[in-house]
Amino acid sequence: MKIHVVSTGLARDKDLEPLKRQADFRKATRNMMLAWLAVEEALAPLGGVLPEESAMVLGSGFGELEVTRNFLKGLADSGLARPLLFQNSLHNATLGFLAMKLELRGPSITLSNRCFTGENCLETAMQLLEQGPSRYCLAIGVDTLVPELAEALNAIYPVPVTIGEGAAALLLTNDEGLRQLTLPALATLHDVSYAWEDSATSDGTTRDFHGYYEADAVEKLARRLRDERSAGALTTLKLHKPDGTHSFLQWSLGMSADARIP
Amino acid sequence: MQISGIGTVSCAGTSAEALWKNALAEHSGISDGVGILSNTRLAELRAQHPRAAHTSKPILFAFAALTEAMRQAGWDELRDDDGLILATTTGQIPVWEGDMIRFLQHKLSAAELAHALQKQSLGSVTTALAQLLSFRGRSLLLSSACAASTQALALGAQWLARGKVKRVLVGGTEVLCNLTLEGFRSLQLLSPLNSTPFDVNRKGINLSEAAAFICLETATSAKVAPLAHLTGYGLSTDGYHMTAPHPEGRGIFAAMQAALHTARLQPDDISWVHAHGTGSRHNDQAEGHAIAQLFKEKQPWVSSTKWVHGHALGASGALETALCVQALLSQNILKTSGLKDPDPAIALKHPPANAPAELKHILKTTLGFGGSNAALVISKAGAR
Repeated sequence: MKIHVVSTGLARDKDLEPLKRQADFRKATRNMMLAWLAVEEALAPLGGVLPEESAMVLGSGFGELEVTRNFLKGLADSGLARPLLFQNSLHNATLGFLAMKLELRGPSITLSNRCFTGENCLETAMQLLEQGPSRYCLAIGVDTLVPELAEALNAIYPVPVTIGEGAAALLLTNDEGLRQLTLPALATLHDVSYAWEDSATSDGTTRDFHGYYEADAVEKLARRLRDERSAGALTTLKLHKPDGTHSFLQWSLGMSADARIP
Repeated sequence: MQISGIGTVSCAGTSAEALWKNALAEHSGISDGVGILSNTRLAELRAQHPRAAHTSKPILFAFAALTEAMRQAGWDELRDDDGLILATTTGQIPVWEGDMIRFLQHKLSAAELAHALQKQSLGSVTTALAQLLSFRGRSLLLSSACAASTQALALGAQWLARGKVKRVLVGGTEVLCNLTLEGFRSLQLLSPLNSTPFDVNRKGINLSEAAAFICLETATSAKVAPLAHLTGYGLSTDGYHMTAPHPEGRGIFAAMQAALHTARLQPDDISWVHAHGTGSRHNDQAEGHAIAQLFKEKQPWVSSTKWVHGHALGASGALETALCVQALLSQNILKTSGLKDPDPAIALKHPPANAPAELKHILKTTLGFGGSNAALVISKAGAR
């Protein structure tokens, strides 16, 4: 069974402000809003709707760090624990929020695995579709920047890193799901693999990890799919990680750039 | 999928055998409403596992539990074509939450905080365990609240079924911290006494800490006879509320149906439902409704063991799966300890005692915040 990418979505900072003024986002965290922006764009070609049994897999390296910070600050300052902050501090709060927004009832899996977070997200989404019964799965990678903690977070990797944030979503489907769509596949996703290297700079190069976040493999793939021009060719992308690991994402483009949905 | 080994650390015993004996004897590990390992037990664990003695508590717990499971399964090591799937909700938070507060109060520099924040990413638990095991293969860490380790077992079964790994070590680890204790308190979900799931007077849940690991493999790779088999799994989402389940248990109903479907079983085939049964008003009502709907007039025994070991959040599914395996091995059912006056609004068939019973297939359920649900079918070896 093949796993196809139907569409991609990327969160943009400029879209956050209008979202904050909407009533149904008044309790939402920054993670939730960024993830929503990415998902909303990915689902636009389908009119924003998925079958309710569709699955979601979300990867986030630092999870709801900003909310956790706010909860702990409130507790330390006043001794008061705020229930809304607590419920939103859970890593899977974003998927809980998205499930309510999208009225989805299928499997929802939240994962976090350091620099393989995005890769785990993609491979788990592929696996759910291979196994069924879900025919569609949103693979979402999201992390948010907490400016106050950026200096500390920049220092946790063995090589220089500037922590960033972002969110991306891919709508994936299997052969059966694709047959039921009126859209062509953007690409076919063949493989996601990852491995340790002996050192963070094993080939002697200093890598630029500017704006890095642990779930960024989803965004990297989404951007490459948007930029890729030649249909049919097998493409392998090697992603180097600041903790000395690397991964490979392998896909073939399903259609030429001109034929794609804008 | 064959279950070849189980290992547990909990407030009700630091081995799977101790947990089972305490469950049978109705000895609870809960004290003043929470289940925390005593310092004596903690020191014993550190002494028993010198390689993990200087790691954080959640990693020590996990290492102790997985060592027990691997020893039982006859696994000398975790090879690179094996897999490791972990589950947790807060990971190593006790290591860094204090430093975070000191940083926010300007008592700690960013450089000093960085050391602690390395442990914030939940994947740091996977990394630490992989290093202790010298393991460089496929790994995953799930954090789907209380459903996490049940989901992990489901994904582990899928990894094996798809041939992604030869064997897979699956488990969860959870320790208590200020965030969890104060957070649940703010939601008014905690009971100051032992929880009494499904009781009309139930007051809430007992948070607890634990780790539990299961060795899963196919019959062809196994060196030992199966303890039991993981034959079915189902995952679903409520999409209803962030902390409360759908009142009619819509999500867990779907997960149970899916688990029966993958196990190719009918509701009649189930001998016992080992319920999530936290003792909270909403959970027990929703879960009870869903179980009653699924089984209708032919209900199997239904019980929860949270009175014994408390609610270990992300580790609870694996911990209770270990109990199910022992129940199948010994052909003994566990009752809901602490249950005196069954809630008349929850129409379940409660076992009257811990007693011998013919058990073939057990349905294990979990419900989590964020509307995450997961169910497993664990079957007696040779039952199919």
